[in-house]
Amino acid sequence: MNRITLLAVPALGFLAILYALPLLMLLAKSVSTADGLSLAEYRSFFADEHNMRVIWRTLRVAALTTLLALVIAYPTAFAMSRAKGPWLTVYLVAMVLPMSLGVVVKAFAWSILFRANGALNDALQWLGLIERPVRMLFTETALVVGAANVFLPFMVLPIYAVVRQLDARLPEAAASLGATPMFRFFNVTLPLTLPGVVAGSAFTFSLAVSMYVIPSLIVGERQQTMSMLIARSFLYLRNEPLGSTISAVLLAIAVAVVVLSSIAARRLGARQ
Amino acid sequence: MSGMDFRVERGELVSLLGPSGCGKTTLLRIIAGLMDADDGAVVLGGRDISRLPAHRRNVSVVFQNYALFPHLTVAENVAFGLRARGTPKAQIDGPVLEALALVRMDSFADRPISALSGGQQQRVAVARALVVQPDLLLLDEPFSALDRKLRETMQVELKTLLRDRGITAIFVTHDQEEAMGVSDRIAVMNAGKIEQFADPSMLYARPASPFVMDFVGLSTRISGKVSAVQDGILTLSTAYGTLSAPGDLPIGSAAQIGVRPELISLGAGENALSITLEDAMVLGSKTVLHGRAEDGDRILCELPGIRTGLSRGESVTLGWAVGDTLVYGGGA
Amino acid sequence: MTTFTRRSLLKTSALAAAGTLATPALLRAQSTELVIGCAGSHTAWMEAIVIPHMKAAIGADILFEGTKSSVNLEKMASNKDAPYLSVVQMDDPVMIQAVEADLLTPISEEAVPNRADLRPDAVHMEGMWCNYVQPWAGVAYNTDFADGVPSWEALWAPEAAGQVIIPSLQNTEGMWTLFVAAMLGSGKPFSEAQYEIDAAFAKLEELKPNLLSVYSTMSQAFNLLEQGEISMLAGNFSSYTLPRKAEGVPVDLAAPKEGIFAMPSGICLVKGGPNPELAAAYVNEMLGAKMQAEIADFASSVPANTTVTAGAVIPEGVQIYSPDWAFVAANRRDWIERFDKLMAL
Repeated sequence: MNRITLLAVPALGFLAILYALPLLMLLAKSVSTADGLSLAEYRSFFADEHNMRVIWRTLRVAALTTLLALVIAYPTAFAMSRAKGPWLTVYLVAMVLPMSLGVVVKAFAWSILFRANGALNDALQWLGLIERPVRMLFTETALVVGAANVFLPFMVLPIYAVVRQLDARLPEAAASLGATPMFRFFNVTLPLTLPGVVAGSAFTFSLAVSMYVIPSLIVGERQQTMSMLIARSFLYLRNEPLGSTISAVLLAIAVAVVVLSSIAARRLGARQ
Repeated sequence: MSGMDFRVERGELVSLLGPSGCGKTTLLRIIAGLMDADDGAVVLGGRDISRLPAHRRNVSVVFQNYALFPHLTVAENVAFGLRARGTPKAQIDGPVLEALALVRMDSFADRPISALSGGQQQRVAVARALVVQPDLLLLDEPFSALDRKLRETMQVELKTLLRDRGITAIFVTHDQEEAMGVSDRIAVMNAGKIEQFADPSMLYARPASPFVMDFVGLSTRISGKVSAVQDGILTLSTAYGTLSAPGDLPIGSAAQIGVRPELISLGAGENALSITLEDAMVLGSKTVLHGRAEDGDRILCELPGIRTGLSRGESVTLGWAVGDTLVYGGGA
Repeated sequence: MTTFTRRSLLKTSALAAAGTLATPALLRAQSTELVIGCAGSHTAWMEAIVIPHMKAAIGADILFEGTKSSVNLEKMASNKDAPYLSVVQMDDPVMIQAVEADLLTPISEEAVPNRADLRPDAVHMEGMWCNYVQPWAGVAYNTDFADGVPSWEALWAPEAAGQVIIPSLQNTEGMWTLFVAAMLGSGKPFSEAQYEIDAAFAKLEELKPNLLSVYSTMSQAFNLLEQGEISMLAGNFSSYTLPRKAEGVPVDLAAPKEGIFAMPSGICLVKGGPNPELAAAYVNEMLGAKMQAEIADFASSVPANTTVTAGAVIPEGVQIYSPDWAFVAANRRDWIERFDKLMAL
C-alpha cells in the first residue's frame, strides 16, 4: 500500500464501521429465520400486491423527481457557469442556503402555498385559470415538486462542475461549421455535459428513492414509499425481518442506479 | 474599433497582424458571426451577411487551440460540418476521407482526438474546416500552439494547400514573419484600427506609419525637423547634422526618420551618421552591429555575411541612400 | 455543542453539591441527569412545567426526548442491554408490549409513595405502569367551519368531502377512529363493538372520499386544521387541542354523542435504567398532588391522583370509553397492515 492510499484509510474505516457493518447485519436479518437461512421474507414481500404498488410508486416518484430537477437544473448550471463575480456568489448561496432550512420547515411553508385558500390557488383563481380551489396538498405532484426542490442542489452542482469546464469555443466551432443551435445542443453541448447529468441524476435518484421525511410530510400515510414501509416495519410492526427485507430491496435498487450510472459516466467519459 | 474597412479578393490569403489587444480576434469573430458589430457590414461574395447567424454564413473557423470535439473521433470531427448541413449519410465518408488525405491524416480516421499531437490536431482542424467548402476560411493564430520548427513546416504546407484549392482565407496572427510568410496581403492593426493594408514587400519597404515600420521588421529611428523641401526631397536637421529623405512635409514640422538596418552599410553614403559600436554580433548569414549615436539614439545595422575586425567602443561611420530613407510627420 | 455545555454545567453543579453533602452521598451522586422518553405532542408543556419543578423538588436535570409511543418502545428495546432512558411516558397499548419484552421494572409503593393515592384503574399490571394523566379524545374541528361536531357520523357526511384527516393506526389516537367505525358499522355498544374489527374496516372504507390525508406526524395535520384546509381532525385529544384553543387558535375539541375516549398516558420505570433512585423520585413527583394539579390544568385532562380536584372536567352526558388494550396489543400489527392497504391511494 503506498502512502497516498493510506490517506483513504480514515474514510474506508469510517464507512466500514458505520455503513458496511450495520448493513451486513441488516442483510443477515432479512434472510435468517428460526429454521436457518431462507428467502421466505422476500417471497412473501414480492407476493403482496400492495408492496409491488409501493415499489412502483417509489420508483415513479424518484424518476419524476429526478426528471423535474434535471429540467430545472440544466439551464441553471449554464447560467451559473456564465455568471461573473457577485452573481456567481448569489447563485451559489441561493443554491446552498435552502439546504440549511429543514425539510419540516419547508413542508409547512408549502402547505401555506398549496392549501385550498393558499397563495397558489388564490393566484390561479384571480387569473381565472380555475373556478374553485384545486387540491394540491397530499398529491403526488406536490411530492415530486417538493422533493425536486429539496434535491435541486444535488443536481445543479455536478452539472455546473462539468459545464464550467466546457470549452466555450466548441459550440462556436460547431456554429461556424453550419450547425444550428439545436444541432449544436444535441451533438456538442449535451454529449459533453452528459457526465454531469449522469452524476447529478444518480445523486438525485438515490436520494429521492430513499426519502422518508418528505413523503411522510407531503403525502402522508396514504401514499407510502419504501422508506415509509421500512420505518413502519421497524418502529410500528416491530417486524425486523420484514424491515430488513425491504431495506435490502431498496439498497439493491440504489446500488443498481449507482453502478449503472457510473458505467454510463465512464462510457461517456472514455471518449473524451 | 473603427476604420476597419478592407476587402479580400476571392482566392486571396490575407493576414490580420497586430499586437495582442489590437482587436484582430474581435474582427475575426465579427466576420465569423460569433459576435455582433455595433456598426458596419460584413459582405461576402456580394451578399451582406452581417445579420446572418454564424451557422448560415458558410464561413469556417480554425480556432487557436483547434476546438476539436473531444467526444468524437478524427473522422467524426471532420464529418461534423457535413452532418450539420444535413448531407445524406452516403455522401459523407467520401469527402471526409478526401479531406483527411489532403492533410495526410487519413490513417488516423478512427483515433480519438486525445491521441493526437498538436500538429496532427491542427491538420484535423483544417480538414474539418475545409470539408464543408466554405466561402471563407478564418484561422485564429493557427500556428501559435506549435513549436518553431513544426510551425514553419505547417505554414508552408497550409499555404500550399489553400493556394492549390483556391481558398479565400484570413489569418489572425501577432507574428509578423508568419504573416509575411503565408499571406498575399496583410492588414496591420493597432488599437482597433487598420494602419495599413498592403502586400508584404510594400508593407516592409514603405510602411505607412512609424507603428507599421516598428511592428513589421526592425528599424533605426531618429527625430528631426524639416528645414527645406526641394523636388520632393526633404532636408531634415537632426542632432547628427542634416539627413535627406523623399517625402512631403511642411517646412518647420517635426519628423521621424527611419531606415531598415540591412539597407545601411559601412562608410559614408548619401546620408551618413557616426556611431560608437556597442556590439557586433556575427550570426553567420549576417553580422548585426548595435551602435549608439552621440545623442543617445540606438542605431541598428545588418551587414551580409561574416564581418570581422569590428570591436566594441570603436567609432564607425555608417551610410545609406536617400531613397531608402523613411520619413513621417510628428514627434517621437 | 448544547449537550456538551449542559454536561459541563451538570458536572459543575455536582461539584457544588459535593460541598454540602456527606461523603457517602458524594459517592452515590454520579449525576443528576435523567433522560425521559415522552410523547412528542407533550414535549413543549412537559418542558415548561415539569423541568423547573423537578429541578427544585428533587434536584434532577431532565432531558425530554419526545416522540411517538412506538418509537419510545423501539428505543427501549434496541438499548435493552444498556438503557439510557430512565423513565418513559407512553401509551397503554405500547406499555403492554414493553412488559411482554421485559423492558420495565415495577413501580413499588415503597419507592413511589404517591402511587397509593391513584385511582385504582390508573395502576396497571401490579404497578408495571401507572396513568399519570388522562386527556380525553374526540374530534378536533375548526370553529370557522362549524359550532361543534354533534356526532361522529359528521366525519362521514358528504359535505365533509376532502375535509377530514385521521391518524394512522401507528398512532395510539388512530384507534379511536377504528373503534368509532366499529360502533357505527356494527350498531353494537362499545363494549361489544370494539371486537367487531371487520365491521370497523368496512365503515372506514366508506370514509375514504372524505379523507384529505392520513397522518403519522400530528403537528402538520393539526396545522392544516388551524389553517382551515380541513374542517375536522379525528381522534385529537384535550391535552393538545385545548391548549391551542386557549392560545386563541380557531379550534375546539368536540365530544360527539356516541362517546369519547380516555387517552391512556402511562408512566413507567425502565428496567436497568440509569439513576434508578432519582427516576423513582421523578415518578413519585409526577404522581404527586402538585404536578398532578398543574399537568391536569395545563393539559385540560383528568388527574389520576384522587387527592387532586383540579383539572378539566370530562364533558357531561357523554360516555368515556377505555378499550381492551390487551386485545389491541395482540392485533395491532395486523390492523396497521390492513389499514395501510385500505387507505392506500
